[in-house]
Amino acid sequence: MKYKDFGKYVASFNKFPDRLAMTTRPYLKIERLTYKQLQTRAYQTARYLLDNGVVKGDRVMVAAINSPQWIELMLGCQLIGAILVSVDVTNSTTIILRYQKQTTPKLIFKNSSLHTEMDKLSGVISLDDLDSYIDKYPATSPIIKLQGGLSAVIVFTSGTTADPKGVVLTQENILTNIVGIQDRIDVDPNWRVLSVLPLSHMYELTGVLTLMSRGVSIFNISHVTPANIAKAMVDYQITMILGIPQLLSLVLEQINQTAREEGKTNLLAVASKAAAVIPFSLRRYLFHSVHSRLGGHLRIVVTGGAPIPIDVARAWENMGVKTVQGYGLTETSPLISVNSLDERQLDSPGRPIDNVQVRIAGSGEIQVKGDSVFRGYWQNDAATKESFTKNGWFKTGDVGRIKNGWLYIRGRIKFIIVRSSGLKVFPEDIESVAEGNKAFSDLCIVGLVGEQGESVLAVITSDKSDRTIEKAISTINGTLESFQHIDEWRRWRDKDFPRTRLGKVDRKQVENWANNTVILMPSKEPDVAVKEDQLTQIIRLISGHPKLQIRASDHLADLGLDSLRRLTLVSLIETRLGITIAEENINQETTIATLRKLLNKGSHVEAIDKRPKWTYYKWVRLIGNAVREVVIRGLLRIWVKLRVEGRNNLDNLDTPAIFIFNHTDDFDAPVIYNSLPHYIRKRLAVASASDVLDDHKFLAFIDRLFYAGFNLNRFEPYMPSLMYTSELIDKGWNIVLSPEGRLSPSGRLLPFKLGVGLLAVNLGVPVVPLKTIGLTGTVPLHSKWPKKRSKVTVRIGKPIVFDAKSDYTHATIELQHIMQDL
Amino acid sequence: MVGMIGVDMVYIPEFALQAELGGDTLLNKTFNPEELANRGINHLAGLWAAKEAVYKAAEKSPKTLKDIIISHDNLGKPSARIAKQSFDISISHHGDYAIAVALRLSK
Repeated sequence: MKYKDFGKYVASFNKFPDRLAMTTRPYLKIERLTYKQLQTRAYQTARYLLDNGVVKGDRVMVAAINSPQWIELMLGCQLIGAILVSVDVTNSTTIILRYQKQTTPKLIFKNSSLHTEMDKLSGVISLDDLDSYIDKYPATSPIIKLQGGLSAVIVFTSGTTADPKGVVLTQENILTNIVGIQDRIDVDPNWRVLSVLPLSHMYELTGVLTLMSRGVSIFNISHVTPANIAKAMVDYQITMILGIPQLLSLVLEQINQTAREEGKTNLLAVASKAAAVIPFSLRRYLFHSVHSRLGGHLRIVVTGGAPIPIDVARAWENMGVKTVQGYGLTETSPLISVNSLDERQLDSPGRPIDNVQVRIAGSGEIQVKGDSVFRGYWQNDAATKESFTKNGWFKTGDVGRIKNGWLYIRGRIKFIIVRSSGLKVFPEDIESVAEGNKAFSDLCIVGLVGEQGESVLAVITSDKSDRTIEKAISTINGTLESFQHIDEWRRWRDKDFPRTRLGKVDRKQVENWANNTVILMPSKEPDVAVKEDQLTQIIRLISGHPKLQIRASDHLADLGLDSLRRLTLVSLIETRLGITIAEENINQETTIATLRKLLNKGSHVEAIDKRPKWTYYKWVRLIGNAVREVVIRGLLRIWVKLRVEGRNNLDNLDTPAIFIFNHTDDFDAPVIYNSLPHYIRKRLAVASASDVLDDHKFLAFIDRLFYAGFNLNRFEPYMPSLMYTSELIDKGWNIVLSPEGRLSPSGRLLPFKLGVGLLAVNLGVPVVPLKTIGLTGTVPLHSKWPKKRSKVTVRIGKPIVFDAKSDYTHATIELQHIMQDL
Repeated sequence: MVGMIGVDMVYIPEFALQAELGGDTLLNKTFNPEELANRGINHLAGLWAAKEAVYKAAEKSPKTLKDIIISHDNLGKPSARIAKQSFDISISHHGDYAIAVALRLSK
């Protein structure tokens, strides 16, 4: 289907208004948006922008992490013909300000916690709060005449060295590319896609827009770390990822690591061999345990941004995951060629898509023409002119060939090494031979400029000895043509090469370094100010200096983080980022760079996985609920004569809700259950202390079977428990919990734990206080059986809902007062 | 008999600020439930100083401050232990400061 402009694109959501468009979890709560809602918000955003003086041709800048609001803003701009300047949020503030000067945007949207130095500029708006600003506007499209030729976005090419150029793409460019991809890849609307790459790159943006054109569900994660990706894969049952080779290698490496830890390396090797000869559809059964860790539904990975090493692609294919490689550039919106789902070649990025013409020039350069090719760079006619041939073909700068319709990429022209003999060496040719060699972590081939032509230099990252490396190089040379031989090698100054945001080694930087080493100071970790992110915000908060300059090489001691502050750091990382790192792993010598690595490794997945899944199986609930209703209710009457006050407070209650009670006796779960009406009871889960359940296996079983019990960790780390609780509520379960966190045999109310306030404020569900009176001593602490008969009153208080902006500490205290006074 | 001493001083307003920022998570990472029974900030600052002092006097450093358990006898005299090591400690408050000294007892 063809779209004339983005007005038609957004209108096409009408074909699947109720399908789930986007899911995100900024903190505890899972937030969802249907296509109808997304369309509404796009229209409202368009009207909001108009109201704020943005007109056709004006620029609007966005520098923010992926979120539904990002897409709302993108579509809103298109609906009024404004141009979205999309900037990678991990750029330094200085660079973003440079882009701002170049494109003079009327409004700038950013995350409120990042790039705070920009807040003083006029026209800076928090993207996080976009939905509250647009709320009052009508949900209909503004009437603006659109046409495909309007500029849609400006994206700066990642250039750490040369001056980055702003690529201007029109609505037609992007929409044409979407159609080209649709024709090649048969998108199934039931796919569930995880979005991990930044939307500020055309690969992700056009990819997501293409998937949305078919009604696919997109899932965002707010803080991209391996642990969070793994959790999202499982939670959302992801079927497809738009990835980069680096990510696919990383996941693969983790799979191998787990296999090593579990002593299954041989098994994995045998399975891989077997996989190569069995039908594709059966392979996933062979790798069942690997798949279940990845959520059990992953079918397709799309890869782009850099060529994928062939052994990585093969490993994924062997596991029964279709590995679909593509090729493109920002200037081409971006896709030029891609494999299809049914016909895949691992060493080729596929055949050119139907609405793009591709030719190989005499020099071997890949050149492209078509409606998805950009018209020019932002205010840079010289660069624009340079990038096209006289006949209007766009020069990609890549060398390649076409064989039987399939495209093969050899390398970039500017990195070809020219020998004094005139013979040309492609760094990529040597690198593909060296790939997988265990002597290096990575290797980057660059030309070393000499008086007579260039020589071939291998720059290496490795923790192996010089001798091992030299041996490996002579082996590699043995398989190369003699003019391709590696003449020299050097170690790179850091553990890893500098990379572009899409994971590609920044060869230009390596080349510059190699050719300038004589003038450069002895190599040291680059003292660049680190990226603005949540971690920097947290450290600034703790140190008490909002402007503190933080560098990757800084030690925690340099930043004034003594032992107390380091503990605050660990605590805040846990509560704000949901990541648990062991405090003993950091000390005053820990650098920011190391801390970042720990963050990537830290995990909240483990604690959650320990909870049994069977509790919430349908048939378990059926049996458990039936026995509880029939047998246990009757038994309970022997010991407890129950009176319930305030039932009318439950009229018009919005479920799911959180029920809190004063914990005076071990018999309170059954009593609370009985005091609530059946419509709540049938979907009511009781939180019990993890440490208690772990120690009493039988009690835990009873609790889970009859009371849909789950364990809540009352000590650290409590973040995973709160995440789990909010997931249950998300699935429609009412929750019963004791905010005191422990039994108070005296009946005196103990201080509430902050977790209850955090849940109440963040999830916005009603909290109903329940007070039990007269229960104390029925089943006292440490006894297994009721000791006496009691007359018990349960008083039900009025439900209370907290505003999302309230302070959770205050909410906790307020709940405590309410309980006290009930 | 060779012993070992450790000392630590805490500026209470700073401690209060960090405890506020780190919240329950921070307290639960540092103190055992019994130690948290009295949650007055001066009291906790004193316990923090004591734990830091014990950390310095310890033969084998504990992994976390939570591994150091501080208890009071019937007369209110505090002492500390980490697994098999035990310590005599003394805590004092003055104005905005809390200070603690720990002495490791060795055979």
